[in-house]
Amino acid sequence: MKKPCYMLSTLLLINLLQGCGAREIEKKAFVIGVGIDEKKSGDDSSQPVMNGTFQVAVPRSLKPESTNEKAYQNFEDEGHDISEQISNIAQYSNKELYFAHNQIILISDQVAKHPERMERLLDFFVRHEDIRRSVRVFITKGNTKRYLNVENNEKLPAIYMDTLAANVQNHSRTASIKRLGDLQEDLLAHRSFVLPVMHYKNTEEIKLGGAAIIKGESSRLTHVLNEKDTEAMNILNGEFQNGMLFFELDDDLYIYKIDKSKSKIKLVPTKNGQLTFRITISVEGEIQEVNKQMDTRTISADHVKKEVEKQIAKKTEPFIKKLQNQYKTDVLGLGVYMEKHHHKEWLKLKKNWETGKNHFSQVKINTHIHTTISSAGGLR
Amino acid sequence: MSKVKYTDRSISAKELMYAVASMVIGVGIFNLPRYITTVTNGIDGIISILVMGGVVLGIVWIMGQFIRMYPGKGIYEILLAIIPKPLAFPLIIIYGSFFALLAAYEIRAIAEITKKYLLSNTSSDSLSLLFLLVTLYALFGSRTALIRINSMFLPVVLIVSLLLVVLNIRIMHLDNFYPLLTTDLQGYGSGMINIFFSFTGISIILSYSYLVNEPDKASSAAVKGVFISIIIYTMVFVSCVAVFSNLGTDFLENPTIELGKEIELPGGFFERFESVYFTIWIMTIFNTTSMSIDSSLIVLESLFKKAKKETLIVILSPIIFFVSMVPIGMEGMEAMGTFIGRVSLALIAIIPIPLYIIAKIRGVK
Repeated sequence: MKKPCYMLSTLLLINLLQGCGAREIEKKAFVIGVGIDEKKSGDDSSQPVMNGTFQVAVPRSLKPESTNEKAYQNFEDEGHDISEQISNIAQYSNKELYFAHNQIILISDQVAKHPERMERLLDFFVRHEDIRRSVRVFITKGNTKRYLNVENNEKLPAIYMDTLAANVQNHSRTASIKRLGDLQEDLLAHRSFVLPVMHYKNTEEIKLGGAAIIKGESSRLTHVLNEKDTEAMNILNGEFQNGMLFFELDDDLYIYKIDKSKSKIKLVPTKNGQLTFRITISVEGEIQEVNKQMDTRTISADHVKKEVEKQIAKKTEPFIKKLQNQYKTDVLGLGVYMEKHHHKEWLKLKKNWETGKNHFSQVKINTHIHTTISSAGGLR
Repeated sequence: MSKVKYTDRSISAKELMYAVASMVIGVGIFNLPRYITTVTNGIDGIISILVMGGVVLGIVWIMGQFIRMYPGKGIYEILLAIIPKPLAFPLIIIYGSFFALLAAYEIRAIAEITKKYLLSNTSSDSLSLLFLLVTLYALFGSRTALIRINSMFLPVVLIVSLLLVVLNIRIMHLDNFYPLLTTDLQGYGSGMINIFFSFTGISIILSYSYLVNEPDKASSAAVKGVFISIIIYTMVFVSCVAVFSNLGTDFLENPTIELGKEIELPGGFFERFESVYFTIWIMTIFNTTSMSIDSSLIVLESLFKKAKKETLIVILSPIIFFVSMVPIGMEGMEAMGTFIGRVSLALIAIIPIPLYIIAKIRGVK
């Protein structure tokens, strides 16, 4: 018994050895959110000028008694890259920008549309020792500056946006939240991926919805998916968490709430060499609401299950077609699957997957849907 | 719990095991995952670690056998018993200077890392000097005490390494392990060579051979010690690949430190786990460095039998400090690391094997 006690006390003592050390808190400006916008200018340099907005928390006005003061301050300056913007800001800010507690990075869609622009700008954030790789990255419609000025009950706009993203009930209508670290991995591997999109509503509200497709080959934003397509994409990727399906069955309106969603990709061998994938989607959920007359009984679960499957197919099939023919971008992870599980074949396909011969557009994608109804609430 | 006899001038097999494990885990662990992912795909690097680990276990076993054959003898005496003096003398000089060089590298590396992540306004020279002074304090004391510190630090290191893995489980993607077995043989080979640097510390058992009071158990104790480090290396490597993916690890300067940075615990105190984590790594590196300098000292003591230990420390330490200041910038450090890795491969991995064969043929007198 003595031994663990000794060990525990050693561990606790060691904790005392750490500390904030040389970082004087009063001399630091804690950045909690960063926004990057495009700036038009007549600079002759080939690199475009960016406008960076850095939201800094003002701790003293976060106290409950001071109500009138703003709890944040936005520093803003232009420069070709983040470091240049920071050094410009240093000329009029008396505190050093400190990034260790940064929560979100916003990138305006204008910036993301330039090939490789986003990649170059994010270099600062992945390189900097203080910045965590868990920072969330979002694409905004229009200038990020507006978003960083949205004020409501949440005193800090950056925290508002961050918690907005954490409200999981929204996840089915927006791409899943992307950490900076995962983003870097996708960019390094030149994979296509999606980022969640924010829409400005008014001075108090921001709407999170849709998905921005970043194409791997040029690492730029090519299309923005609407919410319906995003839902279909999430179902196909097995990321449709806490989403709902509304459908009509026998003149009644049904609401099926999905709790769990999974998907699995498999390459199906074919004789003629046509690449065929099978995506197996399994969803589990409950019947949340049925708009029907009170005295009629809920119909059989099988009946509803079939209808759910039909509804899901109705959502996903047009989306796959759109993805293959219109967007020509693989956000379903088929390329990743090939790379990981059929490496040899992938090496041959890799170059012409989304460009050139465009193998992605020619593959066949079959979907298999399994649904489970776990509960129908308290009624029968 | 039995009481430790502090007047005891020798070390037991168990203490040897702790010493080997602590010595092996040094600054190498900070970039070990990167050294492997640069040359392998997916999780394949695990093969390199395990195969190299197996080889190292073999070498360590051989080293333990030397102790069994020549109980109570120092490394120079063992060498003299096996090979003639004209061969043994240069070899022991190389051995001694190699450990001084290793100590210099460790001091500089830990200073650079501390500057980068903890104390950005302090110059790395003063950090190196401070670190060296602390190790010297340990060196002036008793040698057995220095070895016993390991028994205290190692369990803490093991717990923290385990936490490092467990607390990251949430963000691990097992998908990152694929594709499996796509690396070519050359990749596995260079992976093995790259990680040998992280096993340099094993020869510590030869340095301390004369202190071991259970020579028969030396081999198995040393093997166990190396086994602990192999487990830690494998764990860290697998978690790095699971969290950052192979390509992501490849692009990180110090993947193991980044792994510590990824941990986010609720509540303000542990939000920055890496500072706790750092303190503990500095502890192991303190062990590694002090035992490296001590190895050089043992060599010097065996060559200059009349000189006092304190005098030798005073002569040796400024040299180590100056050597640690030689590499310029990031590239200099990388080059020094590679150089040490290659030298250690020849000195520690290859030379003991012919020596063992000669010793076996000539028989113990």
